[in-house]
Amino acid sequence: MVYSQAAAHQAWTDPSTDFDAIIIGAGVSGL
Amino acid sequence: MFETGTGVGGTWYWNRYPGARFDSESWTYGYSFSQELLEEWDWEEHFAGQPETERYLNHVADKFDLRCDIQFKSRVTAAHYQEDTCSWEVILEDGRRYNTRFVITAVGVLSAPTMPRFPGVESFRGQSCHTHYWPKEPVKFDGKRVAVIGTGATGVQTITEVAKTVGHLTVFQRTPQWCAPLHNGKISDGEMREIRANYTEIFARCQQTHGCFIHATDPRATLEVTEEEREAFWEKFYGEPGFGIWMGNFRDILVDREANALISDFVARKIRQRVKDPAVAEKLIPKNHGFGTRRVPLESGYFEVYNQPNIKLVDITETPIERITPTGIKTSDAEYEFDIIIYATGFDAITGSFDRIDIRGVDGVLLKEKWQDGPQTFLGILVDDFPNMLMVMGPHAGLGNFPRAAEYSADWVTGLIRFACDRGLNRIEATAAGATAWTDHVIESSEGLLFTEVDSWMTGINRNVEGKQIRRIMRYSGGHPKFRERCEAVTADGYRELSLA
Repeated sequence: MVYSQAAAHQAWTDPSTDFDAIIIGAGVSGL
Repeated sequence: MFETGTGVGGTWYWNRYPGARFDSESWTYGYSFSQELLEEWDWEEHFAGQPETERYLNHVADKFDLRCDIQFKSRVTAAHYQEDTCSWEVILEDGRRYNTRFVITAVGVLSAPTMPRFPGVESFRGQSCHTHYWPKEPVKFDGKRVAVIGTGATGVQTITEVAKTVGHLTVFQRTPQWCAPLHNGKISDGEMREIRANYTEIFARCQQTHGCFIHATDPRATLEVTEEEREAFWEKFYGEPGFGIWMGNFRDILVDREANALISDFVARKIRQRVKDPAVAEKLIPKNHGFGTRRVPLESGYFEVYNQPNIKLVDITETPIERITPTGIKTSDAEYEFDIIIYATGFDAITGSFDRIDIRGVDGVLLKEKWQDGPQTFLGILVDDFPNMLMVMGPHAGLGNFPRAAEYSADWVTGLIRFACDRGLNRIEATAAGATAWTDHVIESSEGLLFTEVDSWMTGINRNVEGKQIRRIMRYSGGHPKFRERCEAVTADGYRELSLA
């Protein structure tokens, strides 16, 4: 599980990463 | 976070067409969660244009160091629930796949643009663009022959701006709108200081109103006051900035036919006063719906555009567009040549952005199919058979001042995820009974409202989208205060209305 932003950033390249949550959309509601 | 665009902002990233601008007061539209952000950001205009809003959202992303969590140029094409792990597999257009416990949709309400279904669109040899996909580079209209198809809120803003420099503009209108004046203006340093000093009261007032706008409905009924009082009240609104004439009007204008006819007549008289050619004025006055029963576009000199000698209005209910040609547009009675065609033809609203993603829940059930007869949700946030999927501003949410509502929705979703994580829960889901009850409540809350009798994106109609020809109740009309009360009751009860495991 990923808990920090830095770790999340690293995790994008690792397909085995299990994310806690993924948000779809970086608009007003996503941000 | 996955984002299709190359930058943050969503609506305010994509819709960079000429004249794109807020209809809500800028100082009610910003995020309220950070006092520091409120202290440091100065709004330039009472109703900010797209560039200012995009700058603001970029500032937010930078200030809170959000970019490291965002994968840009990453369109999500599918999200599949996996029962064995109680997780979602999220699949991107480029083939990347990710696993996640929770998937949060923040896909917007008006973010799936639709093109008209005229033949020949691809054949046009000039420049053409949907307003949503407007290029980042400036487009020059000087000396050009330009067509705008569509006269909704976007079309009204575009037409008004393009008309300032265009060689010749032809507007193709199917449905005229009950536009009202925006009355935008610059915010002086003194005004900004006053706004900043009053943010607490401003946001508190927004929380109290039905649509989270700064304008609260007048408690009086239209016919409770004399004709003179009524006229004076409406004159005042017509001369004031923003949505007051829609959201702050007498309490019955959107439910009582006589009241609605009176306010419609008032606005129609204004259009007749502002448009010199009586025949053109009549074409610009809506005849198939009353004031406020569709989204009211706010304008800055829109009607005066039609007094310019280089502007032509084509009513396509009289002379329908037959096809787009290599050189322009052919209607039933004429052929027009253009250098530029602008499609202000709107969006597959509310569910459109969900429909474009292959979202599959338990047993592979497709969300689009589950919603084919209309959305079914619990609080507009959860869907039964779609565990661990949470929608921020999904169908059945209340519309209105979007960030005010979205902030609450995001907070509620965050609270639920925190609750689940704290208790080691792997699976949270709306119950079928809960979704049915909320959906029934959403439908009941719209009963008697005149907008339900009108075709518009707010009733799920889009003539350019297959399967979107039947009116649906797409949004909650009970008002944000009631919505929050219901959400808070669910929280206070320890989310026992949900299925938790």
